[in-house]
Amino acid sequence: MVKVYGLGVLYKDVNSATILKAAYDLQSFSFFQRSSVQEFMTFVSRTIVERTQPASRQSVKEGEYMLQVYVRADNLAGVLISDHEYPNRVAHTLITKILDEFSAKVPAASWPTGNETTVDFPLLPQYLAKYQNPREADALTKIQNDLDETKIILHDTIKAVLDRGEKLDDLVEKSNSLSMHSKAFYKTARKTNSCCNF
Amino acid sequence: MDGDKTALVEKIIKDLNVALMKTSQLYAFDIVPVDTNFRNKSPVICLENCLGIESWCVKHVYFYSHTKVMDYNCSKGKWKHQKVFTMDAKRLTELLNVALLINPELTSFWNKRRMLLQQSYLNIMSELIFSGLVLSRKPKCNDAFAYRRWLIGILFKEGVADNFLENIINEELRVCELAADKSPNNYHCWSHRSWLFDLLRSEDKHNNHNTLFIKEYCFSEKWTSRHVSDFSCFHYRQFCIKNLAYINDTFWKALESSIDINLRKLLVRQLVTNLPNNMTVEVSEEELLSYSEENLMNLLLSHSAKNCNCNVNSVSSCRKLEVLSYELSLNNELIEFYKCHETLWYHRRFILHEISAVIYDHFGMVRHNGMLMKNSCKYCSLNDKRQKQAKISQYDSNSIYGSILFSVILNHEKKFIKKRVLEGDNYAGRHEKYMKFVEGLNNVM
Repeated sequence: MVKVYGLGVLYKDVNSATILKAAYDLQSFSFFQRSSVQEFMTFVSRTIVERTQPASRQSVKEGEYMLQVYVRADNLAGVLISDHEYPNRVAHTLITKILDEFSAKVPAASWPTGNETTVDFPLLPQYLAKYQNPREADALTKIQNDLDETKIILHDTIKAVLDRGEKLDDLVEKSNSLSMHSKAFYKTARKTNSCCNF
Repeated sequence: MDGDKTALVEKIIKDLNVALMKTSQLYAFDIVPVDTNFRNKSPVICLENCLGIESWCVKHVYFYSHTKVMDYNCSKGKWKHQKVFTMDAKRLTELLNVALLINPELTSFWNKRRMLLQQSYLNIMSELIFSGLVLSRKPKCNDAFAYRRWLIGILFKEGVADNFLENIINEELRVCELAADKSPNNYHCWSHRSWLFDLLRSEDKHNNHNTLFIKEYCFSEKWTSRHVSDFSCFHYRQFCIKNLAYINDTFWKALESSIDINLRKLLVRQLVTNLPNNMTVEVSEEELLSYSEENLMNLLLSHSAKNCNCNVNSVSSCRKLEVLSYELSLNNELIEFYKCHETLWYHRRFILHEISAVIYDHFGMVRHNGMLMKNSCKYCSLNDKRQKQAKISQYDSNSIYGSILFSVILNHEKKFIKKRVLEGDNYAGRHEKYMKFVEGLNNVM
């Protein structure tokens, strides 16, 4: 499947990251899971931006998902959550494009204090819908080759991105931003994923 | 189980069934992870036409309903013969509903439902809704698909009105699409979908199944282009391509207009761009476009080496070639865009296999156990027994491998493989080996 689940623009502060704007497509999840899945996507986006150096790109595989992160030198960051089939190159060109448009529209001074309600940037859902089919979107915008030379670092699991000694399970447990419900959901998901289903 | 707990479980079973009865628009069921019953509320949740139960009660409810059903009905061989009485039937349905929603992989329980339906305690339409609900949580449950097939089989036997049939088909397609979307490589769902079309063709109740074939062909094109590592859907695509062989002239035009591509033009373009250099054919693209199907096939494959004088149906083989060459160009694009996907290369194998089958067929040959053999003619059953030696002469194989179409295809493949190898796609080398050793082109490639 080629699918984008979420797109987010974040600001990376000294030791935390805040979401400035995000859009999600969660139709393929069951109704009761959607809110938890969304909380998780937000949580993981923040975690990963916090652990990415400025002016670098990362692609992180986790389970059946792929996280694409780009943190610019000015600490503005973009995250795209997709599945494995989604081409990395398209994902990163899209992030670059979105960040460029975002910085043109929203003044840099408001980034450190902004949040999802104060920031006015309504384009994300449109991009999310359009880039569900990367082949058509790519052909339309013709942005193939203007990906800058920043190297994309690939990681096979989220463990490689976390600081030494950190575990995702512990981070989830400690987090204040996740509801009880979502934590329970995370635990069951862990359990069911551990055995193979055909 | 003590009394308190039994009462609680009975209450949950009742709540769940009430929810099932009350809302006819339910479309999804799920188990919501909640560790403990800290709110002291009913664990049955019904929100926006979705039904859910909290996970803490699943263990108890499932255990209880499963044992009850087994106790009621399975003791000492009563399973098969027992006649169900009205009172029991209602109770039994309630228990079955709960048990199957939680764990649908219980064939005996589905059979119990079949029995209830045959004794008219259940009705087909609500059973279709119920099995759809089961599939919303377990999209790979073959028992549920098999049950649907059984139900639809009954409907077909009873005979249904045309517009009602239309609804049923649309509903099946919708359920299949949801199931395919929820879990990749969903073999059961795609084979269910192709079962439906086989049924329509064999029953021939639905007079315009050709329109549906075309619709499915277009649908599968869109779907496969977005699910590039899901071979089950590519297999369905292959089923759709094969179905196009049955459509007639009027629908052929409809097909071309619905994919909005001039298939002949595409085929000719591919031919012209891949003509080998040493070929002494001097035809321009415009000239080729004006050829009739028969002339085109004759040019591409020269004359057939059949023993009988039956006419070859060049229109149908030409159309097959057009469809396959379109498929090949789609496959090229997909492989170039989504690099390194094994599924796409497997689909390519299918396309080339089919193209060579068209060529062999034109020459009255068939590949059997890796050997080219003479095939008996499809039209006159002239089975030349004199020619016991099924092995073909050098002359025949030369005329096949020397034909223009064959060289064009080989040329196209060689170019493509070379390009992919340069970009570091390991599957390209494997594809070359497949062409050489499985399709038996070792001598010519």
